Amino acid sequence: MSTNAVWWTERNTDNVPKARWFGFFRRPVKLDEFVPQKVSVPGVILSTPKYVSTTDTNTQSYPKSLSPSCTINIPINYLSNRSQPDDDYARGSVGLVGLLLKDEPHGEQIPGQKRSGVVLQPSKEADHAPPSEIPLSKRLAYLLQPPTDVLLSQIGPLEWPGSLFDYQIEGIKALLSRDALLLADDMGLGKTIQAIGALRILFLQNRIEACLLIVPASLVGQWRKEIHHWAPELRISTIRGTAAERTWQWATPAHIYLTSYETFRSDCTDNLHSPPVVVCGMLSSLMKLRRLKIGMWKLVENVNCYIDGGLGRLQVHLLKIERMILLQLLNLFRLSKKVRHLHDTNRALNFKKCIEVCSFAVKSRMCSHNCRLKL
Amino acid sequence: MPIPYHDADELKDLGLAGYLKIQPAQDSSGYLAALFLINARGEPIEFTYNRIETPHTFLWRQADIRRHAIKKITVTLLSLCPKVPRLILCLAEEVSSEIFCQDIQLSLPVCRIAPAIKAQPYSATEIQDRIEAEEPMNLFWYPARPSDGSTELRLLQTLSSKGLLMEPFERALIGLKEVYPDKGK
Repeated sequence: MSTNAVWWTERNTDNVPKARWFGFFRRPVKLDEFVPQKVSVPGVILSTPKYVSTTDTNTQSYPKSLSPSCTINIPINYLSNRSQPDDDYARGSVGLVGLLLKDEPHGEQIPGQKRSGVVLQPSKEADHAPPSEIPLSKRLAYLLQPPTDVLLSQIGPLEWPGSLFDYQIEGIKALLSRDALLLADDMGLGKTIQAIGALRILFLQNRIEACLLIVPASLVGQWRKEIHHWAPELRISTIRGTAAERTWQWATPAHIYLTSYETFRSDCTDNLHSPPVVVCGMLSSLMKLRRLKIGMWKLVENVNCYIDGGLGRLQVHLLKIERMILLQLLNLFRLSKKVRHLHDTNRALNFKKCIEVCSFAVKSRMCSHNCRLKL
Repeated sequence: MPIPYHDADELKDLGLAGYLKIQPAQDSSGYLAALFLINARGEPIEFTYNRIETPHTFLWRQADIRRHAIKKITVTLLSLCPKVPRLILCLAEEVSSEIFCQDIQLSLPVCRIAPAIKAQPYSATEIQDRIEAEEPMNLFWYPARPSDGSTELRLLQTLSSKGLLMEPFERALIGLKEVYPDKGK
């Protein structure tokens, strides 16, 4: 078996397992005298011990090999095209970086296509997996991500600038665990922090690659400041200024595209040069949704078209929204299955409307994080 | 006085840590093994896995078969893994000292980890160390403990400070159970 790795060597050791010879022979045998002096340890496929005669006490035959015969798989490397004829799909090596967002498993390309001088072959797992089944590489890439508890820990991989309260950690977990969520915390409890925290983890786990935040114009600066504080590694592109400026701002590579309703509506309706670069969106604070209704529908159409190209999910973050329009949007996004988060507050909704909205969310199979609504 | 700064690529420069996980098959027919590579932030980078079947024969001591099997399967993982970690971590209760002290010679440090409250045999050629993580851990280094300030030791300390000294072993086990659903449970 050829190897790529040069950072290890297997020692030629004489530490082969010693067989138990006791009881095999009619007369006592001193093990030290009868152990063969030259014992070679073969490779993976080993010869089985030869027949040991126990009838002839005068002639003693020795086993040819003292190594146990172990059946071992020759693993496959999806990247280096190392395989055996009787390959088993459930063995090998899977590169996990950025695998979740890509449609094809890591290393899987068109047969014969070269990358870095190495001819790549389609992964065996994809061949064996049914078409509807998630490839093993993607399942591994998801399962082997750091658990949420570790990420939210103060001593975890993520450095949180401040302590998160237990209810905020609970809210972030809820946001991460569901495709749709109505977060209806009271004012001042830190919904923004929870949303940013969930976003940060989604980015770290490669579950999203971009996000659209639409907030009131007066809150753009505050959101930007909060994101810088709570997710300093995320790059923000603030969409503002003239149409020409917004065009390149949309095209700027960034994790989060932050804009206001007016700008967003303008870009969706008037500015033909602003492409729908949004691959995952989080809509926030749709305070003026009535006037944005046409633009919103157009946005959804655009995003849907783009998502159909395999670019990701849509994140929805709703704040201060009127009930009827919320219901329309919920229906729309639920049907399009692009909803990730629904983030609402009872600040603008009275008690009755909160109950109605939450009940709708539950009926529409969207979990309502309403434990603090005291409904 | 220099301007204080924080280089975001600092953690990336620390390289990768390899977690070697050995798990007996559920039906005792062999062993499952994985070499799980993560970076200093705990992000998964590479997952290499394989299994080995051991014969059921009275001719061999179970300890010898286990050592031989673990050696063989570890060799396949090392030969396959496309990336080179800074150090390899393994659990002392799963990997005996002979594997890396006698059977396989690595050019990078190997650290066997054991809880400090649990007595664990180790070779005289290993260097014993101790780290104060969430719970005190004994570290058995071979061939030597990385020097203070070295990249390898900083990587280990970073992982420990982030609660990632032992946790990746659990993730590796989850991966093995996913790969071998009929043998890993």
